[in-house]
Amino acid sequence: MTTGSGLIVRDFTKKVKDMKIFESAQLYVESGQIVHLGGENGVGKTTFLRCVAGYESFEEGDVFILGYDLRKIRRELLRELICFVPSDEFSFCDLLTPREYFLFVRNFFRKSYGQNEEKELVERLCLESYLDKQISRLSFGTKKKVVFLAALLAQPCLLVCDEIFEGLDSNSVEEIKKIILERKKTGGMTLFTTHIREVASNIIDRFYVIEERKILSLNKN
Amino acid sequence: MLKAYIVYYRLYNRFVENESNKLYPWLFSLFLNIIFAFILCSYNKNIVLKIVPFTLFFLNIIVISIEKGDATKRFLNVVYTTPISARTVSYLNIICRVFSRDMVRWYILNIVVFFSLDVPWELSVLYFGRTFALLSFVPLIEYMFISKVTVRISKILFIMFFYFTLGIDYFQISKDYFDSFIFWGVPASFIFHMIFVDKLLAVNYDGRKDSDVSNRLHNILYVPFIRRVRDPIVRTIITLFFRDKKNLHDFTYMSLFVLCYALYLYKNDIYHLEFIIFYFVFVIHSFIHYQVKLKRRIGKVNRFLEFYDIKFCVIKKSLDYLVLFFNIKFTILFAIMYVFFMDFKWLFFIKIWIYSLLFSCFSVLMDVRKRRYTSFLKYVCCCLLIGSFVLILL
Repeated sequence: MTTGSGLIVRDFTKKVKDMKIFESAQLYVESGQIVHLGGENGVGKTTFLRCVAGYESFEEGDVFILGYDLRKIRRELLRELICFVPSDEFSFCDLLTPREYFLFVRNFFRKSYGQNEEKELVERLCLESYLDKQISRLSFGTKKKVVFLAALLAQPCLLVCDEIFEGLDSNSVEEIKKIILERKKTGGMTLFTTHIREVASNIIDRFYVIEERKILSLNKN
Repeated sequence: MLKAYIVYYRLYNRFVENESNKLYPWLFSLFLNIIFAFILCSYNKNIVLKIVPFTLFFLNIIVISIEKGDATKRFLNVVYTTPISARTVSYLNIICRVFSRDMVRWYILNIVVFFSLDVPWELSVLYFGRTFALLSFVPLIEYMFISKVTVRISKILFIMFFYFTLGIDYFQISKDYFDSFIFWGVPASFIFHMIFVDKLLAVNYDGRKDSDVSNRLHNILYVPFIRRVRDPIVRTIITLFFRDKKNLHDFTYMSLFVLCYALYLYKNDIYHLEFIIFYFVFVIHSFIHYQVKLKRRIGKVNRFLEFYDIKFCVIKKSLDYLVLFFNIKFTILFAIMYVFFMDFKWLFFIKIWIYSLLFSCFSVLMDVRKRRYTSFLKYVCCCLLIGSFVLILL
């Protein structure tokens, strides 16, 4: 895989409080691939995703997204390329209503979806009745769907989702899986973590697991 | 004294970091206050009332300037330097938190000492009020020290005006209005807040019905303004800003602070000139205060800005809108006050209006992004601002 396509993580080393949680880890996501990153609680899945999304620094190694070096890329461009959906930390946007939030995203990102696509996605994720309520007053699952939808609206090359299916009802899980598969057709990459592996097994192209500071590539089944 | 203070400062920091042990700074503070109380009732009261708060204030500034290390750490250190200025970045926040548990303990302890040494209660209140008022500006001074050189000079000039006004207040002892302000204004604003603000103005989105008075007030006060901002990104930031309850509380405190001050001035028949100066300095301060807030990564606005790596120019633009908004808000507030409490004078009102608009223009001009013009414009703006104040003074 060349550095010009997809996501390449090579010799990734990350320390937290002088303790290495990753050492020379490797991970590849090709264009149009859906990749599941697994591992036990506390192995560093969220930290890894935050590093890949550019929210945290790392000590050694290279991370390339579409050929751009993550350490050197302009922040604005990075945000256009990668969107991150956190697992439970939604306080950054919870003073807005979903409508205000989506309007912001549509105006902030150059390649973002238009109003019609937004409306369609809102319907698919059953968010119509929540559009004018403040996000802080929504349930956990609804908040997650709002943040996920906002990330989708930006049309990023790489969608990074932390524990994406946790806290969602079965209909929403199915709908999100469909949306991720639709992204795949347009070449969009998705990297996500979840503890419910069975839910995601039928859509993933590659499965990685974090074990003993390494990221191991496993058979997706 | 300086050496002792620096030792105290470092000791204090060490113990503040270790939450379980705050005994030494407490003892030191107690010891110092016993001496002050003794001087206050035995010798010249002016030594304690005038010199001690100022000495503490300047010592804080010296400590800030000589203390080495990471800027953020220094900033936090200063915030923690004295019990009075603890854990806050703005003096308005200190007013908010002055009745927190730690502060109450500190005040009770020292006031008990003062009382036990037969210090008249008026003097005790004055002493604590002045120390409190002066030291609470220290974090702002620290902010100037750690900010970038390009913006520092202009900020220093602005801040100088603030202290200049404070200086006018402070040394006009014959009129005693600064003292009375400390004496009545701060407790009055606190009581006012306790009674009205939380119930009426604070916007609580968690669990209250939409028909709540607070939400209706919010809709009347802020929504028309927010709707006029056309840039959706700037509008989002401003929306976040207004909905952050903490920000709103601070703004309410500002309004109360001005209101108390203005009422006090009215009651004591103070010359209007100082009112104007206070007004402008206040707006400038609010501008700086919120820049501090945004830069110090406090609150949800900043989490949002960080999540999307929003450029600083967008933040600046939002700040300009906010400054403009509060300019308008305060001017209207003053106009209402003039109508109800004083003889309304058109000329004076127009003066305020023109100068508030001038300031808004200056603040916007100062954010012109083309680098080669920025410094020049900053200096021009500062000179113009200083010039206009000097002209008023003459």
